[in-house]
Amino acid sequence: MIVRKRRNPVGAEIDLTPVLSTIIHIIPIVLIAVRFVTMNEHVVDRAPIQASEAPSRQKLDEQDAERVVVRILGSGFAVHGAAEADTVIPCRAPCTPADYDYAQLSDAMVAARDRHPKTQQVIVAPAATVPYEVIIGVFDAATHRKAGGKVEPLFSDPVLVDGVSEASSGAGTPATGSPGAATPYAPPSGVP
Amino acid sequence: MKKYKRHARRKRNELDHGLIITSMVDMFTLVLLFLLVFYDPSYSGDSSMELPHASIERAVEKGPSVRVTPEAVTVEGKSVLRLANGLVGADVARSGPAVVPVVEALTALKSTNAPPSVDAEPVLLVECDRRVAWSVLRAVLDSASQAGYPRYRFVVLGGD
Repeated sequence: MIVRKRRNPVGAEIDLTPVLSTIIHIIPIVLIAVRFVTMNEHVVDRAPIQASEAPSRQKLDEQDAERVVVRILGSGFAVHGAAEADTVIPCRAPCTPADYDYAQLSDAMVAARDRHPKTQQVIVAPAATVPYEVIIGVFDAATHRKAGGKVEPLFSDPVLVDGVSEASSGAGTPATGSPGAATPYAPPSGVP
Repeated sequence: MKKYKRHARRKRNELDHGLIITSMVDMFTLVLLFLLVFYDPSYSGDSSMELPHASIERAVEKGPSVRVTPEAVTVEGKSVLRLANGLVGADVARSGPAVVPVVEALTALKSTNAPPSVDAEPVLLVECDRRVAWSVLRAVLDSASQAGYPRYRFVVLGGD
């Protein structure tokens, strides 16, 4: 008697085991390749100001009153425009990027926002040796402030200018001193 | 005998249906699709790069990019300038504050990447290591400006 096997019996399910096996192999490969980080951006709409584009001294003096400037020095921050005199925020020794006082800078930027409600521009002037990490920290403090889950916008138009020289700004003074206090505020060259 | 065969067949059928993997395949397929959607093969991550953290919540847009690490400056993945001790070497050709090799690479990049509209100014994505000094970044930004990229976006890591 010949018994013929039924190859495709009615109602048989597709064998999904190879499919499952393939997918299980692909998932770890993709997981290794993917970087699970959120990448955001700070937008700067102007190139750094060139020294050759510097306006006249008279024009600078006229605009000086309306400027908000954050100088980033090797010994801390010096904020112009938050109070009558420059606000000096020294960093803790040994002044690594984590030693800068961003919380106090944020308070100074809120004060500057209140004093200059019309302007959206904040000038950030780092010294040559300042690490990029500190510049981004200043951008964060100058553009917005987060408090209690709310985001308060501050200055939406950050402008980078070539920083003050460490020698002329008093950056060589100790952290307990006042960087920039020894010399009056000098507007960074070329600010429009 | 006949009764025994019927009993054996029934038992085998019960064993065959012991593991139903259809729902498992469904689940894994969804996981795979999710991963593939967020997988960007054009992004070549650099494990030596340490981006700074920021609390800004503006998502990164796509665009031509320049990457600055303490070792080198790369334009679209191609190394154009080696740095010496994290600084631009004295022997590198300069054009004012700009660095000539970076200007040339970005000029070539701009000629191949037309902006979306005639009026739109091209925007450069700047991925810079958190340790890089401002003097180096300044040289790169000046080079970008000379090459026709006056606007730029600093790429940072999100989350507080």
